[in-house]
Amino acid sequence: MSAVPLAVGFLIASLGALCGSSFINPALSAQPATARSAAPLELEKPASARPWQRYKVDSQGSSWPQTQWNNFTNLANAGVSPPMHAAPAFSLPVEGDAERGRLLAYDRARGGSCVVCHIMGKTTPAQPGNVGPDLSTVGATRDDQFLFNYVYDPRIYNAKSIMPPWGAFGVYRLDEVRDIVAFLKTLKEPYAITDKNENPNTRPAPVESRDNLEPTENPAMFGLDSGREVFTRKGANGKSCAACHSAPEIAFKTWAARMPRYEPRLQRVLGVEEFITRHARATTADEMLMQSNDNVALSIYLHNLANGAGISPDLSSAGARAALANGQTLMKRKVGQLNMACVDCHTREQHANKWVRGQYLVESKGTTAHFPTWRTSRGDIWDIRKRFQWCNVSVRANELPPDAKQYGDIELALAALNKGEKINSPGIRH
Amino acid sequence: MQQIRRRLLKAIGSVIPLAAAAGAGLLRAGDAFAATWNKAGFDAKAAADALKSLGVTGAQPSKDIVLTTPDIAENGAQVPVTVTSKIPNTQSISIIVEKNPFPLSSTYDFSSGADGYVSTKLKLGQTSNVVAIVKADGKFFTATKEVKVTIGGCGG
Repeated sequence: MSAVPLAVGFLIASLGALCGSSFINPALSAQPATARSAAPLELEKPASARPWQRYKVDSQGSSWPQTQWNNFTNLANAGVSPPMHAAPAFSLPVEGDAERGRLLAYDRARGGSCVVCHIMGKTTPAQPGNVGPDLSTVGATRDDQFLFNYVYDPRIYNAKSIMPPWGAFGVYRLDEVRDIVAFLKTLKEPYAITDKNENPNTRPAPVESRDNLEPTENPAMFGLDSGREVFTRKGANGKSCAACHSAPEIAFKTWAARMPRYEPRLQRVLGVEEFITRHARATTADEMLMQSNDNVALSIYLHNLANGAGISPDLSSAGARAALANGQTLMKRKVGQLNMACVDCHTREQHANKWVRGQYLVESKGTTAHFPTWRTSRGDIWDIRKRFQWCNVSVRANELPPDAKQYGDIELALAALNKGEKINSPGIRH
Repeated sequence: MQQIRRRLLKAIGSVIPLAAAAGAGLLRAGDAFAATWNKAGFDAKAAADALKSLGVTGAQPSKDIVLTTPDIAENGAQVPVTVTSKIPNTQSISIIVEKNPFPLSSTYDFSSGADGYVSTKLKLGQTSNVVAIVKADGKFFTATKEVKVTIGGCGG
């Protein structure tokens, strides 16, 4: 007798579980979305290429630096960068070649150059930045010892400085540090930049006004078409996504806005793209590695279906909260040869809303809802993990594979920070 | 989006038969395609040579030309530029980017009565003056604007 209620109970539980999942037949989805069901996922294999190798070029030919920065901390390995130490002995006054120092200070190919963050007197080249103080009179106010130490490693005087330890981390040789100091010593007169578009303190912040959903404006819209095709195409086992998800416009109305999410079976955070890889393996038997064209296209399609939905990550589980905390910690970790953390440049407490050369540093809030996004400066569609990888490489830290746990934690932390921001994908950005 | 693209393709499709007709010699040069290719102009490596190729002499700055560009272009590869000429009998609009390796970007001819309006996207190699040159009743008028092209900081 007891077998019947048990079976009914089991059936109800299964139905509830199915309906809890947003991507099952909407006719059943009147049930409240309570416990999220376990969507089929392949759980064993990596979701991106192994061994991970850095991109050589983006689709339109923009190249990626190929240097490996194995001797510096990255998001996976803490404590690798050289420990703080005093500058090696140097003689006073510091003597060097001021003209060579000036060229180094303005050279984009080395370290990013001083004018990325500083105005440097009347020879300042176009579009200086303002993350650091105006150095136009630094030669009149600071002595040789201070200047040498500060360029070698600013933390000798200022633990909170975000300036890279140019000498200590080997971006510049000691003779180059001396040359730069010699140049700094020549800076003695204030320099007023009158052109308001040139002066970083008056330059207007860029406003993105392009219509990102207009295909003649945003090439990523073609990714949307191809994502729709991938969704309806038969996979290796003859089934398509659409075979189970018959009304995607309804089923995925908010799904991407609730990603990334903590996945207990993997004990880490899954974003849309990794989910695609693992779910496809378990259902259509398709192999869509992260960063493959199919994966990015499907990600655009699924994000686009959630356009207008407010970002709302599920932080209710202990696993999610631990991942969130770790993501927030990682965003404060100094990484790479330039020794920078996410928060150094992208929080208003630090240096967001300032200029690095002609580039505007945005706050972390407001920066995730448009992914995947077309990058006009790169000529490529980037999902959010590729953006993270580029940030890492830009501060000269080895990037991680796109499915790295650390990126998942950071993506969740950003989703929490961007709670309520409306999904608007595919985006278009510089 | 597919609908938009369909409209676009339809619009393009309606142009193609005309081009095909011209290609097949069904239209006399001077009917739909008055302009001949200005080889000297588009090959010119200096703005002055490009101007010479257009036959520009004694050009006057004019407030009746509205040249719209961003002050700062984050991406030099796609700078939106719009030129509106309110000068009566506008015959052509040319756009020169002074510091580009090939300064003459484009020339647009207008048959009589057409509105002198052009909207396009130009590639700017670096910060440069953009000059719109309007030919009207055989005379030349100009409007100039500087566009700053952003220099990257961390590289993207």
